[in-house]
Formats: sequence, C-alpha cells, structure tokens
Amino acid sequence: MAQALPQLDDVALVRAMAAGDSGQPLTAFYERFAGRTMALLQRMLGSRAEAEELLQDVFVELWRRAPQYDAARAKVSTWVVTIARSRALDAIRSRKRRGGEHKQVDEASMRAPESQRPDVAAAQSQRGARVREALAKLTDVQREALELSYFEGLSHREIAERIDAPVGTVKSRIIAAMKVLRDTVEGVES
Amino acid sequence: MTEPDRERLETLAALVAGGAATPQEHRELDAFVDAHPEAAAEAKAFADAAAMLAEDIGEVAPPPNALAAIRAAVVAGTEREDSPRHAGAQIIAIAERRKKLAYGVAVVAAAAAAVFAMLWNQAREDAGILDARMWQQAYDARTELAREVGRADQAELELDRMRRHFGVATSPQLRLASVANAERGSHAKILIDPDGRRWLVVAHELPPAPPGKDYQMWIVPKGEGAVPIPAGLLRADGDVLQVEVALPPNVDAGAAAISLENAGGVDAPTDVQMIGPI
Repeated sequence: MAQALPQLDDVALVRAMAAGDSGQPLTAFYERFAGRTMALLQRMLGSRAEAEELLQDVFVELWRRAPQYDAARAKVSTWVVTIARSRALDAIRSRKRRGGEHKQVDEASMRAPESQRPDVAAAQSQRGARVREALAKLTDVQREALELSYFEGLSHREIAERIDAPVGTVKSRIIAAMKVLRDTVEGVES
Repeated sequence: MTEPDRERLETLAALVAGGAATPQEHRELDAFVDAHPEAAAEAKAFADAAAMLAEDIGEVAPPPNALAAIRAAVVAGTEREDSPRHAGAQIIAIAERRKKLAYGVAVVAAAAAAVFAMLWNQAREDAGILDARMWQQAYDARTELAREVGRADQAELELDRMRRHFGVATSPQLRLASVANAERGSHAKILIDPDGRRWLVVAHELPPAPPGKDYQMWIVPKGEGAVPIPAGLLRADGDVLQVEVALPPNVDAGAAAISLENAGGVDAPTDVQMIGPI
C-alpha cells in the first residue's frame, strides 16, 4: 500500500518533487513549510504584503531546485530557510538600493495556520522549546549581533556602526552565538 | 585535520551560517569542505543551528491563494532550473511572460469586443436608443485600455530586469571576468556579483547563432572532473547577446564557458566557443 503523502519525511517529499510531481508532493511540502517560511519572510522584510509576494517565488524556486537538493549537506528545513533567507536578502538589498527603509511588521497580521497535524505540532513544539532554550543561553549582545547579521543581512561594519562596537567584537559575538546554537542542535539531534 | 585547522573551520562555518562571512570566507570554507570530508558535517551542523533562528519565529498563515498560484507557476514553467532551457535564464522567463502578457491583452480585447457585440445587439433590439458612435467609442476605449495595461506590464518587467542588472553592476563586491576564444577573436565579459551570486554575461562580438542553433552559457564548478552546469541561453538585446545567471546554491564556479548548441540548449556542452576562469 502506498504511503500517504503527509507521512513522507521531508527528504522523500523533496525527492518526489524532484521527480517532477507538482501535485500532492508539492501540496504536502507547501503545507509543511509555508507557515514558517512566511514567518521568516515577514520577519526579515517587515511587511506582510512583501512576504506574501516573495513566498510564491520561494516555493517555485524550491520546486525548481529540488533535483539539486543534497541531503548530505543540509536538512530540508535548513535548505528551505537558506533559499527563503537568500531571496529575502535580495529583496532587502534591492530596497536599499532604491532608498527604501525597513518596515515595521504588522503584528496583528501574524497568526499560526489553522490546520496543522498534531504530531507535527507536538514535534515542533518540543523542538521549539529546545530552540528557545538555546537562544536563552545567548547574551543580549550576542543575540543582537547575530540577528542583525542573519535577519537583516548587515555586514560586520554595518553592525559595528549600528551597535557602536568594534568590528572584531561583532565577529566574536556572532561566532560565539553560533557555537552555542550548534552545541544545542547537537544536543537535540543526539 | 590539525587543531588550528579545526578551529579555523569552526570559525568559518559559524560566520557563513550566521550570515556574517565575507565572500573570501565563503570560499575558504568551500575549500575546507572540498579538502576534508568531515568539514561538510561541521558546516551542516552550523547551518542547521542557524536555521533554528528562523524556527524560533514561529509560523504565519500564508495567503489563501498562494498554493494555487505556486502550482500554476510550476505547471506553466514545466521546465526546471536544472534543465538546459531554463537554467538560470531569467531572460527567457521574461520573454515567456511577455508572450503571456500579449496573449492576455488579446484576450482582454476579444472579451471587450464580445461585450461590445452583445451590448450592440441588445441596443439594436432596444430600438437603437444609444448612439452607435458612443458604443464605438466605448469599444475603442476598452481596447486602448487593454493595450495600455499590456504596455505597462511589459514596462514593469523590463524595469525589473534593468534593476537586477543595475544591482549586479553596482554591487560593492563587483568583479569582472571574461571568456574568450583567441583563434576566433571572440570574447564575452562577465560582471560578477558575489554577494547576490549573480552574473551578467555580455557578448559584443559573437556572430549571430546559425538557424536552429543557440549560444548556451555554462558554469564550470571548481574541482577536478566537475560537470558543467547549464546556465541559460544568450539572447539578443540590442546589438549584444546577453544572459543573466543565478548561481545555484553550494556551487563554487571555477570557470565559465559559452557553447554553440542545438536550439533550446542541451544537457552537456558539445561545441565550446569560449571559456575562461572566474
């Protein structure tokens, strides 16, 4: 009996898409990752409208790049985040060139998807707790430097100017923060 | 791997994953991964760790029609980025969108004509209360409006393309490379935006491709025995041939090449015209 698509793991879904199936695998993949991708885009762009516009581009790109996905190099969730973040940074840079500014997120527009499988939600909740635990281990200045780099795509120099600290200090804080997160991920996976 | 190497690897992987690495640090990490298989696992661990930042944000409901739009886009562009026709060639996508726009304008005009005909008949049945000249003016206005909408959409697409090209040309990290064939005296310039991982390839002196043939762009990854990646077809733009290339993730280009292939492109180059390091 064929395995129901929602039960396929992330890698199997990507492989089904890579095989050219734009039907149920794409739907299941979208339902699994659209909510968090939308949240990431909105967090980075500060605009729900821009995030909605970019969401479509990101998923079309994910479908087109599915044959190139390499499970040895990244988990599927990391691959999705990497592509979404890259597109969002493109949009931010494009906005900067046009003289635009970072927009404020309309918090009221943020809400979780209504339909979510309980097992997935539970797993995400457990992992989310570990994520929050890891982030809580970061000092305020580490987290600030990392978020400016990761979410806003600022260079060391730009971050240094923003937080009034030497460039070397900015780098050190980001490296230290990443090591804390890496150690936590290894704790979760092991 | 020595302990200093391991520490350097950790630093590089942390900076790359945290979005804080310079292009040189990106290349250094890639070199580590190429040289030491265990380095890939370290880089993966840091990438997964960085992805946790995104997970911490939670979820936001996507717009209700997004999946349908994505499926329509996927089905409309059935060929993938890894297929030779569409590899990184956004110019081709723009051309297709233009065709669709032209089709859309035609549909709008036809619909306006149909509405006009229906109303015209109705008007005649109603003993010609309305002046025929007014209906003609309304029809002309609708047709002209449809044409203007089509022109505006095309202008917007062209503007998007120019913005991307401008973005490459004004990148703070802009580098210039070239591919050439000394025997044929031909060459093409490549503007490289390392941050945006985009190339803008412009060939000034290539003869037009013979009928049934296209010039095709190739990314040659670093490393011995690397397989060239199709990167789109060069298209005429004024008196030059050009193509915009988006580098696939995790690909570190060592060289670029232009070949002459059957129309539409092929999976592997057969007749390389020009090649050069990146």
